[in-house]
Amino acid sequence: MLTPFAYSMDKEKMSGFNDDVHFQVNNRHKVNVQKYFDFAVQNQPDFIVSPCEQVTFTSGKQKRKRSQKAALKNFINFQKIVKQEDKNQMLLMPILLGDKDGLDNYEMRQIQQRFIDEDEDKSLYYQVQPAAYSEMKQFFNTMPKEKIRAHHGMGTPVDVLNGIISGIDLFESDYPLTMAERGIAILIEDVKIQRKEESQQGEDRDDYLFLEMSKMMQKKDQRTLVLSKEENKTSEEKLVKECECYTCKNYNRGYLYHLLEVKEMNANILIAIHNVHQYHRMFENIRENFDDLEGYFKEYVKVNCVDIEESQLVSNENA
Amino acid sequence: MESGNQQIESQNNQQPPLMFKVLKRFNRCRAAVVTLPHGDVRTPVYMPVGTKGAMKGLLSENMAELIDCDIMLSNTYHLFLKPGEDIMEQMGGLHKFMGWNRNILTDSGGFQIVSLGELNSLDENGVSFKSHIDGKEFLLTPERSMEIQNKIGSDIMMALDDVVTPTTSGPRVMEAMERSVRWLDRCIQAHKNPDRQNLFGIIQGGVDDELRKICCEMMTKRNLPGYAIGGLAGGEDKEDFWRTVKVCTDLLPDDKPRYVMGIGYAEDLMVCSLLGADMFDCVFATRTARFGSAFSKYGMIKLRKNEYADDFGPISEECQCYTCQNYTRSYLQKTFRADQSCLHLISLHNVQGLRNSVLNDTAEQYARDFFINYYRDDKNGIPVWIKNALKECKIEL
Repeated sequence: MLTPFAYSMDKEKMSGFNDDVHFQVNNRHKVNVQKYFDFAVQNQPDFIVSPCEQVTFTSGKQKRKRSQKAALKNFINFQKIVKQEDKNQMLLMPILLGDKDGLDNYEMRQIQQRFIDEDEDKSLYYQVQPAAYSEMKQFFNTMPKEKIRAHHGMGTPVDVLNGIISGIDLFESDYPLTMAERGIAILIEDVKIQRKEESQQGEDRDDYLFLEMSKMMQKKDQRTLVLSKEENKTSEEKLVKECECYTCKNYNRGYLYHLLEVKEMNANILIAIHNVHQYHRMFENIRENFDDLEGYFKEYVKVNCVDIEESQLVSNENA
Repeated sequence: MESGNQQIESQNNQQPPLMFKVLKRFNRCRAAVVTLPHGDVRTPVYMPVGTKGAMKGLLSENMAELIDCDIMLSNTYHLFLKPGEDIMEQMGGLHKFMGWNRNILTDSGGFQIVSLGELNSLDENGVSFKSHIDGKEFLLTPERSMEIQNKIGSDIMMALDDVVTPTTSGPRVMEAMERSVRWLDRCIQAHKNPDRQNLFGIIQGGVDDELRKICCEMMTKRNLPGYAIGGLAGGEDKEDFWRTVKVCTDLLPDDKPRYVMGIGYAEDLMVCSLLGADMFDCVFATRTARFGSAFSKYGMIKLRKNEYADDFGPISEECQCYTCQNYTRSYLQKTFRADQSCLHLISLHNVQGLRNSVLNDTAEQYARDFFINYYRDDKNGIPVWIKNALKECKIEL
């Protein structure tokens, strides 16, 4: 998948100096749509993400106006790419601004509708930013059901689970890797749910359940382990007891602590292997337990999550 | 002193956990197998250095599978400071700690005291030094060095020696050499696991042939499993360098491995192997990799240079390593961090290539091709010292 920009925490940098024709990559290169598309064709990715402007600054009226402008520009860019002849196997993903304000207002909706109308068979929807379940659900209700829905930059496992129940299929995030860079391991233990009897569940019931789950998740945070803490120094424990990844099979917390202490680059490599493996495992688990997401969620939260207040306390202590 | 020596000799007569078998020879050069507690080591061998219990940028699995490395080196000084000997012991030794089930060689810690730490004082008892990390003071004696290395559990341990730079001259060189022998005796006494760890002595004596001869004579009396040639590769004249190696390999027993410490340049590896040394170590491969340089058949390649931006060939055409098989120079130039596995491999590759050629009776041709290719782009041609050294090995360039 090729995206037009590198995701940056400092979002103003990405969208600061864009004009109508160009957009900016990494605050350095100005690129127009044609150039971007040519580059994409050369690299032959399986997905191309249509150029997009993301607006997160300012608030209120100003923001709304700015969002509309950005959405319109994104739409024009998307149109340009759709018109290209040499599309090969590549799929397009118009990025829709799903900002809270954006979703709420009528003009934005109209622009989004134009995206959908303009769409060809191959294109996918790609959605940016809304976090709460209800917003996403509401948004997807207005979208064609048969298309793949992808999400950009949805990070923590809790976010992912929220995304799953709101109907997102494809997730992309550097969260496991940035955590590894900071020496933090994600701890996800395998969730075993006891299957309950299957009851008739209508769509309304689903909606209600999912809303409840989403509320529950909002108070939770993923369990993680800061490996540079002194307590790991003599620990012979694995990161996660039943984890099958290369790191857990061969090393213990004490070794990773040591590597971080002496600033060996292998520390980050090993933690990254573990974190990414955990994500794969989690998605595997989600697919396996698709019939009983409710049970899975409840168990997941019990085993792998901490309350948000608690985790904030811990992070404040660290700071 | 003599009676003490005899006592040590008799103590040292039990069979060490090392077997050395020469498979084939080419003049002075030999292709052999050293059998150690964690498997066979094919020599001549280049040992990559994993200073602090990890190879920089390479996992243990990569080392074994991508590079097929038989033995690696780790530094006692670093492991002693962090994580510390007690943790090492608690975790069941370095092999288990770093997930490496092949062989490990540890140095004595003496060299890093000189190169990194702040040397406080040096006397007959040992070396006292300040840690380069927090300035804490420590005393390293031969007994301490053995204790730490016993806890690390390396397959080959080095005796603590009194290191002087090869450019030193005068009575200090002699003093250091004699002290190294006395310390070796203390190391032998303090060594707790002679049944599963090998202790190598280190030949000192600067670039003085006479001193080296005396040292060789005294140390070989101790009947150790193997010997190292130390105190080289520190800015001495290249002619002195190869002559010293030659003097030592002449005198060291033929049925024991010989290890030249701190040798890493491709040409040095070749010359020393041809002179009859078996083992080498240097951080050169990994360090240059971090600065973006790669070895090739035709000398060093600086991958950071712009001219490689559009070069879609591998680092080295003939190389079979993972990096060369999968990545282009252009990719490496862009990502800058050249994959270190390749650099290790080419070092290994060079000595391994020589080994194979000795086994196939084509060593002469191999060595000749190597030097001609290596200095192909050098306007000065092959240096004189290499020509002289090779003459000694009966190879005309």
